[in-house]
Amino acid sequence: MTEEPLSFEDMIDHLRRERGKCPESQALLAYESGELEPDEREKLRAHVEICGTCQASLRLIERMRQAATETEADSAGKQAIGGATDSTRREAVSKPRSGSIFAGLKEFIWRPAIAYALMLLLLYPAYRGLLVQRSKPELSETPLPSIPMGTSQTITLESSDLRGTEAKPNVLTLSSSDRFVMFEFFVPIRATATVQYAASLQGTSGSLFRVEPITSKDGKGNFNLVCPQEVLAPGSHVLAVEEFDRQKNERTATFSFSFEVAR
Amino acid sequence: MQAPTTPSDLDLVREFKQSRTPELFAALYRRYYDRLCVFAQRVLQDPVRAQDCAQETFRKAFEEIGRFDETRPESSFWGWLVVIAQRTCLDELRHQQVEERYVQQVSLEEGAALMREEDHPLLPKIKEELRKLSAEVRMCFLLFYVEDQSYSEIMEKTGFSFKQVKTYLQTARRHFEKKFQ
Repeated sequence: MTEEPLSFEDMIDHLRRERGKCPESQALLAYESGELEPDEREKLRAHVEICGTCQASLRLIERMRQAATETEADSAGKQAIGGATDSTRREAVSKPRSGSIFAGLKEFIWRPAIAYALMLLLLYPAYRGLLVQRSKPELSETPLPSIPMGTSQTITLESSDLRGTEAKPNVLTLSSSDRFVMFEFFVPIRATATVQYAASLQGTSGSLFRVEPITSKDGKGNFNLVCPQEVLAPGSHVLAVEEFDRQKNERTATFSFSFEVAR
Repeated sequence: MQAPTTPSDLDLVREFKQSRTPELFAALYRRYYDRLCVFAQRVLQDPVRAQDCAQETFRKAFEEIGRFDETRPESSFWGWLVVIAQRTCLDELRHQQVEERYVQQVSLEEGAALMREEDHPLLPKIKEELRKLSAEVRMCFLLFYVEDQSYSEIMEKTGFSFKQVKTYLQTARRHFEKKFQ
């Protein structure tokens, strides 16, 4: 049989059709623990082979087994510690107190010292976090010029980073009546207090402006950013959105939106 | 004077099945609720959902207590609870996906019934190429391209970072582009 050439899109199409319906959780659990009959097992295996959701579920089941083992171990450990603590307490009660002043002073000073040391250790990360918050990451600091009122044009930008395929080219045609441009774009944000986002615009002449932090208008990752028209010279531009994790003190993701400006 | 012995799990279950006295089941609940919450918290990474899962697990255990065989000495009530909890946690995490994909699946299945007679001869080769990918790359590839999931959804489902998902997808894409035009 001669093989017909297959495009990437056709391949995806075939996989979608072949995949079928996902099994119930009960069936997946039984599959993972080897409890299914051979023919049922084979049927499920054929589905799981091409189903990302079920593969992720099987990973989760593995994590659950580990969680069950850890919970058991914790519980057994606590019972052992509880027993040991009881016996230590009984020992301490029965042991006569030392009459030495030196021993008393040592106890009076040593225990608070340990407590203070522990407190410092616990507070140190918070202190570091405050320092990091004050210092800015190494990025261009060109401020955004003030925006006068006037007509505007809105453009929705798409990123090839998120589509996985080449995004349709973003083209912005400016007219002299537009005072500023509103960029609309989406990035998959993390709803974590230690993460913040910044946007910077680069043109052919270099960095144009930077806004930090930027906030999603709906809390789900949709952003609006306003830019005065006069900074946008004809040519290629890139709007880069950076995700910065303040706890790790590092940039954790970058999303790029390329667009062309024509007049 | 001898201290009163604590009734075992099997004793409690046996007596509960006979008398249906709620206090007996409540004793099991008190005994294992916290531990179950710890387990669920490890899986779901969310204390509120973990508590919901633990409550739901006990509710199912109450309804399905007839399925637990307390006559066998090796039976473990905690082990049985964990099995129910696993199912509950998995349902919790898959629930939305199953609902969203159900409509899509029904229509795809109708198409699939016709397509199977004319499956493309390259389908076995596609699957063979899939097996050559690492588990992480394969999972992200299928979730993104075949199931149309977003980066956020993939990150939530797999626990991978954005960078990892992006790298895995690029690897998969390059692998298939070499094999298929």
